[in-house]
Amino acid sequence: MTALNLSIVVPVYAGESYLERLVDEIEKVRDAWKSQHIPISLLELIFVDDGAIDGSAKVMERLSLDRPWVISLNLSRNFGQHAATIAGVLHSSGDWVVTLDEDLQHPPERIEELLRHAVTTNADVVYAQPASTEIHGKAWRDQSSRSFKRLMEWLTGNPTLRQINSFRLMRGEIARATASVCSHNTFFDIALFWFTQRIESFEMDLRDERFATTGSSGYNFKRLLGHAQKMLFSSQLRFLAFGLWIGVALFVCSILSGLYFTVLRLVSPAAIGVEGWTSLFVMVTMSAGVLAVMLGLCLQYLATLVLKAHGRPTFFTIDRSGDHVLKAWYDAQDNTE
Amino acid sequence: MILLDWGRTTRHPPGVALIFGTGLIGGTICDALQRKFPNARKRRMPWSWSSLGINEAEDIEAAAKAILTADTDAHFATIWSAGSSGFGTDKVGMNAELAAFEAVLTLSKKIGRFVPDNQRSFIHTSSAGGLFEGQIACGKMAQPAPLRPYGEGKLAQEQLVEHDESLGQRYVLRPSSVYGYAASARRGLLAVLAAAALKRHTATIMGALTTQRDYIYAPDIGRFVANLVMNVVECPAAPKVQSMLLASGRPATIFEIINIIENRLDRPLLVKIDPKPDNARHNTFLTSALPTGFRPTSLHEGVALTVSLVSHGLQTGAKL
Repeated sequence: MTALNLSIVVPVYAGESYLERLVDEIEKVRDAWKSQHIPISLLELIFVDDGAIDGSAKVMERLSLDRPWVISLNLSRNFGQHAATIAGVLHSSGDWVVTLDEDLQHPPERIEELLRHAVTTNADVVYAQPASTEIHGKAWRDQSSRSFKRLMEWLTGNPTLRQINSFRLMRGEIARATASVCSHNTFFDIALFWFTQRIESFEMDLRDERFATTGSSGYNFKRLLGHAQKMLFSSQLRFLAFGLWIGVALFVCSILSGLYFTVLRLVSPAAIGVEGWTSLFVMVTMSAGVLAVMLGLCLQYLATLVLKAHGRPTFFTIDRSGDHVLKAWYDAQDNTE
Repeated sequence: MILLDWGRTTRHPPGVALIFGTGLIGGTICDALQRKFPNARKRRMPWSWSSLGINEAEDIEAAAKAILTADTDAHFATIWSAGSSGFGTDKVGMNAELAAFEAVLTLSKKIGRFVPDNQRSFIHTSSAGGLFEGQIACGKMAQPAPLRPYGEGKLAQEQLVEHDESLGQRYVLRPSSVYGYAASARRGLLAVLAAAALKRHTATIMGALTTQRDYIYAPDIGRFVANLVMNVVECPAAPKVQSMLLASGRPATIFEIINIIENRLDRPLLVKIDPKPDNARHNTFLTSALPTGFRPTSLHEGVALTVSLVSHGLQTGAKL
């Protein structure tokens, strides 16, 4: 039987008081998988110190010395959660890669459910979807998070943005390919969509204990704005195409109205009382139309270049044949139950 | 092969190093040793691949003996970084390489008799890719499990070194996928891709785009080997054997390598991908398995250096 492997990536910024417990929880999962003879092993846990503001780096170092499967990476400065995730993913070797937050809001024992969902739905990415609408324990915070994602979905035309969560399971090949094309300003989850449309979500109870108890979160308004900017710049914006088509409509409108007023002048000269306004109207509409079309085209070209700079691939091949091992195991488990 | 000898200085006694294999790895080892021993003298001596001819061996022995017998504290190092084989080499090919290797071992032992046990060393460059093919996240406890004659042959060579105490201090080095550029050496994947991008030719990828490997920059190995030789010279110790993994601990897919090269050169890389690759198994290593003091160059930096060297090679008319 071909055994599959799973890597866990955890960006660390202020996790000093959580890391030890997190490793213990993950170790329990690791041992449980071994004892259940599930055909996947928890290969490695990669901590990425993203310029942590507390003593996390030392804790990571100690944990990695005690356990050879725990890897400690130190970024040279604070690059942000996405960059840390990308660094971790690029150091991973697993067939599947899971990303978790440092503060235990993503229970490691639920990873298997994501995995099961992925192989049964043939998905490449599975996001944990909070079952409750109150993740942070504060209505305004949860509502603003949902509204923000909806707005971004509308602006970018990407239907998967609502599912985005930092607790995600990704096929290793897709995750590493995505991470390798991301620039500093690319939104990782948008780039995932460039490589796969098989994106699923799986409902589970999630609660941001840190935010609920301390009122502080890793995200503030400024960071959310940064996220929004990254999302927009990593996507082909809808309204760029709207602008182009509005310009075309204006141009056509100017031609048609020009024809109309010419015919009107010939058929009924008295109908146009003010000399010159018709030609002025037609010229203004036509110029605005031409300008809007040219601007729309320029923006489309620019968007294409930006996406190319962001590393959007022309194609990518994938081998999903390894899934059958895990699927067969789950089927066998279901049958025995 | 290269015979490198250095004279006495205030820091170290004189010595001789025989470097078998002057390609990508051997070349960087020689360069690094020359930097360590500024008064080193480099001599190219004939050595035929099929087996060491009697006359060739006698010439090498005579040259080494002249230096080693002149001083009682002289050091002798043999460095094997040769190999005509590749992943696709069959058993016959590997046996031929083993015969050549055995001839070098015999010569090394013969010359080694001119110096005491603790003043001689043998550094053997093996292949992590061949030994651990298909294994991922290999740590210190990972066991070699070759999947093809190439890996079996490399393991057989390692065993010969490990079991022969008369070679002195023995270091078995297991480099992962080595990259870099040397005009006279075989081209690795990275140099081939860089050359193809520069010449706007199509490069053929024999693995899958998602194949993960651990790429290690050749000069890192050169520096490490030079440090090992220097350590033996400066601190002679009782003979023992040590196996070391020389990897970066940072896996990278071929897809990522292509991206890095494209970004570096700011031009697309034309590739043809083998739909049925026979060398597409992953092979990755953990940083915890690396020896103390081994500092691998980062992938982006190494690729940038390789691309620059390939570019310079093309400008100076090297055939790529």
